[in-house]
Amino acid sequence: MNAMEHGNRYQSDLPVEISVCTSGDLLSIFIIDQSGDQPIPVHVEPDLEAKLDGQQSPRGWGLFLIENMVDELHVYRDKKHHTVELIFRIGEENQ
Amino acid sequence: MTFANVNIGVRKINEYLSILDIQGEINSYAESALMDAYTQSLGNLTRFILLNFEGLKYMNSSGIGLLVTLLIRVQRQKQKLFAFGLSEHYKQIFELTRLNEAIIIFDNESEAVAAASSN
Repeated sequence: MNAMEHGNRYQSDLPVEISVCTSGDLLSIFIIDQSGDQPIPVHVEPDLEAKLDGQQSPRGWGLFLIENMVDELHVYRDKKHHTVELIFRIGEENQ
Repeated sequence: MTFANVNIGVRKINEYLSILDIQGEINSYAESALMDAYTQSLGNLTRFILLNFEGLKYMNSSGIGLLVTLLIRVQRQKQKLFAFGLSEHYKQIFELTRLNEAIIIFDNESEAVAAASSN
């Protein structure tokens, strides 16, 4: 949904590609949108009090939430695409 | 294609307390529905707004941003925002964002209404 909303801005002709790969005890999910022509926003750690005080935008939670729900997060960009890679460790010790 | 896949009902429980019944998805396209519902819920003496998430199907980070915007409006009016009916997943989201420190969470409507009524 975030790739559709923030990346492709709900342009129905632009696809979001999702790939799932496993290697050893790692599960990687690649979410690729078509917003490579847009710079990756500078990451600002969201702070609720700052948002309530008007010092930060009320928005800007996406990558923060993802970071806190996966084992690793990587963001890539090329001329056409913006890729978010989510990595989960799925070994027995993590189950 | 419409993106606002949400209906928000407004119940005025008494002159101090209103409940917003959220059915569907809270994303950036829910802004009008949420803010209109809040406006409808207001009376001269309104002090508590309860968000009923029992019918929530999906909320993304833009939806969290909308809740922050609503919280700003509520606090400006010196009102309090309560929530109930959140799934464990969204309770975790509230904890991560620390929204649970600003929006008091209850398990169900009766507990939320009782808490508001005792304040």
